[in-house]
Amino acid sequence: MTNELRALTDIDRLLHEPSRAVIVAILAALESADFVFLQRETGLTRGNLSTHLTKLEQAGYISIEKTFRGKYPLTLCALTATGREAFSKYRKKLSQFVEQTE
Amino acid sequence: MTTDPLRSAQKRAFQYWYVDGTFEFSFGGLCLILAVYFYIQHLLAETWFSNLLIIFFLLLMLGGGWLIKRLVMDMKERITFPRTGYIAFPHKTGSHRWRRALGGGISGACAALMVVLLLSNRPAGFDWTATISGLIFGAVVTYLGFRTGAARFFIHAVVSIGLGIMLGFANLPQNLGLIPFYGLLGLALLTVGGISLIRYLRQNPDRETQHDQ
Repeated sequence: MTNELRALTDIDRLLHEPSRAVIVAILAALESADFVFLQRETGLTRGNLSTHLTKLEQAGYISIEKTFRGKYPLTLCALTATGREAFSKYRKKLSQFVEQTE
Repeated sequence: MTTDPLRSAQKRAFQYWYVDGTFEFSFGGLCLILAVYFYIQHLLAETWFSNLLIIFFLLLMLGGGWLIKRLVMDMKERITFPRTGYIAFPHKTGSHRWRRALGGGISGACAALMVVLLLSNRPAGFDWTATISGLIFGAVVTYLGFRTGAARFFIHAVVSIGLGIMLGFANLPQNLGLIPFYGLLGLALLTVGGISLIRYLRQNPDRETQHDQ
């Protein structure tokens, strides 16, 4: 295995899952988004989305705040500094891999 | 086509902000206020009250952006966020804010220079005031159209530029052209905004009982 290809095995496996990568990509573009918006954008079921969010929160990549806006409950998700850095590294690594294998 | 997931997500988030027509509602309302302002100014011209109106106009210009932002946010909190979710955009930080302010300042200065040049050399039989207003608004909504990919912004641009040119040829005296310009533009914005809102509400019925997680 070449060094370049070996480098791919160092990739962040938490982010190297399509649904979680999409969630983090959405949150990277925003200050915060609520559960309803994320569900609509990702097309995941409530249960699935909840599981992915919990994993990302446990890794310290996102913060989840449960609050209310008027009478509606609101689950606000935001990318943390750690999550932003991890996503940036992940993107770099992926694009490096694509460039090297083209 | 955008393949970068971050850029794609940013674009979708930007599009989401304009999906419900609330921007047109607020901006259309502001245009109608401007039409009423120019009408009152015409009625009260040559009286001491017209000086007060100039102050009101300056306040309206300065506070217009803030007012639109506030109105859009209020409507979104009542209509959009409970249905399709809440998002907040990152706050502009130091260098970004300065860059935006500088860009806005340069654009404003260029627009003001263009207005002064055109009005000082205005040809007889053509009212440039309404035409320039139409061109400036048309340019802004064309930019929004390209950024959001929403065709209705191009309709606004056509209406705005078309109205501006028509009123230019109509050549109404004493800037009277601005009254129908802002009045009709406001009505067009409210109509298109209303259609967008109805479509959005049909596609996303109230989730009164459908609660968050």
